Amino acid sequence: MPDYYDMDDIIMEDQHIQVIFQVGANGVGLLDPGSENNSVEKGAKVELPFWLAHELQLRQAVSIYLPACFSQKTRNEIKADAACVNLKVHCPYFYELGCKIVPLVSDKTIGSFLYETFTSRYLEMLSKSHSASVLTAPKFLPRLSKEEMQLFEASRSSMMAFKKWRAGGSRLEKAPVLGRKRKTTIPTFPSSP
Amino acid sequence: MAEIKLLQHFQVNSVPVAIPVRPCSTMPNELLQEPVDPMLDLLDGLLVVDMLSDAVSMWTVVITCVKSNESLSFAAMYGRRASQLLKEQACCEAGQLAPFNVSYFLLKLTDTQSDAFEQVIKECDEHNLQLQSLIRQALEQNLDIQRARNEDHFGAVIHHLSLIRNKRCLMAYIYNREAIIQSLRWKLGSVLPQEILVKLHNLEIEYFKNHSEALESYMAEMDLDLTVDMVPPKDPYIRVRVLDDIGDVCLGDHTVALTKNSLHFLRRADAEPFISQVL
Repeated sequence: MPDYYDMDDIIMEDQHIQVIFQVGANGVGLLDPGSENNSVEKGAKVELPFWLAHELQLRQAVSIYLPACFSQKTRNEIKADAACVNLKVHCPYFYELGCKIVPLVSDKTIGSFLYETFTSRYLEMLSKSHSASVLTAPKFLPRLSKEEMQLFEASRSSMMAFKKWRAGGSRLEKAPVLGRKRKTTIPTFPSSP
Repeated sequence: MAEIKLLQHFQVNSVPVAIPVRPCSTMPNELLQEPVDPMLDLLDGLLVVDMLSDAVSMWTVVITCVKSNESLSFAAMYGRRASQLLKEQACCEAGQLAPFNVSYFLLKLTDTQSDAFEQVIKECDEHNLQLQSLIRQALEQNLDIQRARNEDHFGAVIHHLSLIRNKRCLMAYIYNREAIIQSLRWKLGSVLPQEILVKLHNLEIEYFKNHSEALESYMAEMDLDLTVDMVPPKDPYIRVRVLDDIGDVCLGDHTVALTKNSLHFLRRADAEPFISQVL
């Protein structure tokens, strides 16, 4: 269960998915652009953000369609060469959304699909994060989903910390909040370790 | 207020919930204990009105934290605006490569964003009104609110869920900013530079001051400066070159004239705050 204040979780739940209303609802005409009397008809096909669709599904008010990022077409694409697929375009929170949507839809293959996707992409991502230069953003960065991006940054920053430790850089630095320029280290002696 | 009366009319067999009005700066921690839980199935009973009034007082609390601003129209999708507020934060964070990426979104709180905050609250008022009118409708038709599952019910559910969602967004927004403001105290000391101050809301500045005071009184009690480097130095003295004119500074028992490009041999603990503040 993610934190109530977790920004990533909140933003992830904003992902739009398509649903069909199983009941009518009054006073919410905004949801259905085609409606005339400020209400949603039974059987209307609309796009809802995940947080709303999820809750309504639990109350059996709507039924959720499988989002396009888990469609057969995307799966074939990923099966062909997982590393080259731009997951961010399909869905910035690909894995998180996948995990949350599994209990809501009848398709039970999503779990294994997500697992395969991740494992086949992870290796390349990890090796690149260690070898890529620090100053330039690697070419494949825009292809990563948000979760992969976080992993990438984590591994890169730990690599940088390791290098700094080996070189014995200075410990005292200006607080990074100040100034826009990257790390201008102020020479202090003796430095440790 | 007519709406409030309507609310009380509903409170037949539900326990009224008291939400103490607190200043914005202390809100998040105390509300940690009450995440989403009881609100989820509330539309199944009379509890709804109760929780609703809870939500309403919640908003009045939040509203007091925000500057008043001109009104804008209802968002294109429920909850869209609130999440945009958060997205802006998250984008700023991701855009920064440095480990302390947090700073960026602090630097980003411009007028448009505080507008957004206000707009979200307006949106909530709108939801609240619609929710009430739907419930009123149901009452006029003499329906049992607890059991009826008609169009009005689901309309009300949607409005209610939107309220909760907006609440979560705003709470997360404030909470995450608080965390950064706290960390600023540890990194920069008790005085914030102007460039950061202008990005903060008045209440946030006040929060920073209070936090700073609490920390200082604690450190005075312990007789220990907790903000210095965590690794014990090999030598208590370090050599520093001054980058900018600071003037005479009283360090411990003697005064040092820190002029530009002069070299000094200082106690490490004395020099550290100057280094972290880029002087």
